[in-house]
Amino acid sequence: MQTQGVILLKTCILDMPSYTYAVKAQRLLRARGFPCRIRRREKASAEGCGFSVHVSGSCRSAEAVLSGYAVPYTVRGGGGEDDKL
Amino acid sequence: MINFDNAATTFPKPIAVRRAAAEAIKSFGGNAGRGGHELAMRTSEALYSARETAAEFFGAAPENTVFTLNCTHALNMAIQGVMSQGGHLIISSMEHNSAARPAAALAMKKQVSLSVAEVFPDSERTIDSFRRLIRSDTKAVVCTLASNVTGQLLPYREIGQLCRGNGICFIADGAQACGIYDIKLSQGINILCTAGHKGLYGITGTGLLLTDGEFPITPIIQGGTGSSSLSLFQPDLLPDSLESGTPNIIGAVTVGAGIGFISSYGMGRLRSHEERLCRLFIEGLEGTGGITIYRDPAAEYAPIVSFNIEGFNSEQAAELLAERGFCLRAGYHCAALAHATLGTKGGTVRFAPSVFNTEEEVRKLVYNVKTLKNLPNS
Repeated sequence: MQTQGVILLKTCILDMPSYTYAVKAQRLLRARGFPCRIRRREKASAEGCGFSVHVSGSCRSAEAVLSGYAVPYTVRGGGGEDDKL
Repeated sequence: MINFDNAATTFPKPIAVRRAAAEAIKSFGGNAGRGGHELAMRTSEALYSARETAAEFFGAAPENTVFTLNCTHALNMAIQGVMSQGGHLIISSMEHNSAARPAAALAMKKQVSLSVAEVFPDSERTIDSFRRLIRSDTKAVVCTLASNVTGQLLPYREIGQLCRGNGICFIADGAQACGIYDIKLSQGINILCTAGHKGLYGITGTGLLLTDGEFPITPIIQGGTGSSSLSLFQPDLLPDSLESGTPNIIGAVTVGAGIGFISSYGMGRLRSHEERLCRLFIEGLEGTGGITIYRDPAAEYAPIVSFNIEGFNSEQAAELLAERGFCLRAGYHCAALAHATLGTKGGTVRFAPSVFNTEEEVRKLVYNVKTLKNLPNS
């Protein structure tokens, strides 16, 4: 989608069960061309604090990568404007 | 000073390891997996990289690669964790106390029934020992890959096959084999425990537990993991379930660097060098009366040689050699079962070279062992 010369990229936020899985996901996604970064969750979930992987692209594409490697995650949705990947 | 006590811990460490330690102290001072700030994230990345390196080296998944304090810590977690619901446990008669004591402690509490499989120089007889002890309730077999006393290699692939065929968890102690032999979980090992500070050339205070995930390991320590913080229960995901508390991040980084050193030097080259030094040592003492070398032609050995000098107990011999500048470990090497199997009296002196020892150093040692024989009490 392009609006008045600004490109708005889709961002997908995946909540990860641990930092180890967050890095594993990040490396798998980056290796396949998805810009992404690990961020501390802004708000603690019911389980407590944790890490998320913010991926540039659709959640569907990111999930397709991670499902092949048995990486557990929860899709939280799209990222905010401050998502600098 | 010439160090031939590398089976206890390798020294010196490779320059790459020393540099990695310095870099880790300088740059990775955060707490891994605990915070979102730059220092914590940088440190977490470094820990993950070390985890990934170790995982790849042993054919495990990074998340199934757990950093521990040492091999004993890893073995305790594996043995107690797999046997938490009881059952029958088999250990070999060459086990180090790191495996034998946790097994014996569980048996003393009547939590498990314990059998000891006798190890012979002949592999077939050893495999048969294990086979004959398997029962319907056998849950795990614990076996060292190489004896820390003599270096004898155990037929671990065949023992792994035996375990797999009977649905038994195979826990391997790789403390004296990892870094020298190409050990992979795919060789029939369900849980591999090893030290980071021996053949992997990391610093002391490091170890690894690698699992294929087939057998759940109940944690023996609970605490903070940086994940599921609101739950009072330990997370069940690896590595967090087995890595409570702040890990030895600097140590883990050095283990990663040590594995990098082995890979770039070449494991085959490294092993050939150490084997050559062992041959030189044995050949140098051949024909010298009164020297007992604990090797059997029917067995294969990792680069370790146990010996005794007639007229000296092992501690006296090691002390006299220490006075001449040689570091060798004497006594029972924390392996009562292995010494009972070998039938040693008063332990042995252990020669354990590393990649950094030279032929010249071995020749000096041979000369000094020979001259000890001429002392008054020999």
